[in-house]
Amino acid sequence: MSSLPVRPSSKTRLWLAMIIVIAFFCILTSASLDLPTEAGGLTSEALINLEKSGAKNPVTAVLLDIRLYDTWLEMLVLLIGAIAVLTLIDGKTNDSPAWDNIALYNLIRLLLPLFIVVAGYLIWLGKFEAGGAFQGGVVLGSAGILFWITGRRYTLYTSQIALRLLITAGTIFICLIGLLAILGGNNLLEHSFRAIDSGLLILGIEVFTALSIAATIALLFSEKKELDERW
Amino acid sequence: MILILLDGILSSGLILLAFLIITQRSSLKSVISFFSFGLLMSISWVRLMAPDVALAEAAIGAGLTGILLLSAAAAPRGNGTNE
Repeated sequence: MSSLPVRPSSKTRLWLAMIIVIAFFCILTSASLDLPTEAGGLTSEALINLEKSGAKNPVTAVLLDIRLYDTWLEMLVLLIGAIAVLTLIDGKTNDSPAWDNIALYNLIRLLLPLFIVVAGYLIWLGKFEAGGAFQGGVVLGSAGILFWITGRRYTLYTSQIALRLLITAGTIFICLIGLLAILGGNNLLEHSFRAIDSGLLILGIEVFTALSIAATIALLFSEKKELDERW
Repeated sequence: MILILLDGILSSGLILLAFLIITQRSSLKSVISFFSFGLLMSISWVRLMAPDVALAEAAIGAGLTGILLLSAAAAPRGNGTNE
């Protein structure tokens, strides 16, 4: 913004922003008026295939079976984000954590096991109810952020190979399932694992994607803090 | 009746908080408004009978994005001292 040769006055920018927002609002409203009022979407397909997909929750069936390809690409987007963050840091910074806040440390020491249990429960719950890999992964990643806040710079003691494996675990696992489907004569990720124990595979996808999401989130925060401290 | 009232409070609260987020002078206050916005948003998702989205909104929208924004908002005011 500041590199522009002529910077418009704040009033002009405000008007411009208001016009854009109102125009966008009108477009969105007219677009949503065009939508059919009783659109089933994927509901019927999900309910029909619910038995075969190995999940008892239609949302999970859509995310991890019928539209697994979309989930895979979402994991790739997360991975690209993590890679972008990793390229911003070169090497490790000094470890001079703030060890002094005893109350915070003890509170988080009590909270961390709870976070891990809740994350595991959410991941497991995804098969039956609202929950699943994304929610569980975020809770697990938040545990990492909390641990970071206490001043324990655990990323300094994590092997870089393990970190990279964790970040890519979900993508690689879904990729392997797709490859298996191709070897089995099906299309890539198209109802790919009907032949095998799909309940177990759904759980596998949930666990690996949740681990990847958690690692990516913990990395986002910790590396950002390292950047802040370096500047 | 009660539910209509709740929906009205939720939607007007969302618009009010969205307005607060962009008009607040201090970025810290903006971020705190953003936290409340995410919380109201996740309650709205529950009202729309989408508990999955509500969970994701509470965890990612309010929690994680809020924390990242908070650390970003706190960063330039550090003046060499931490936090």
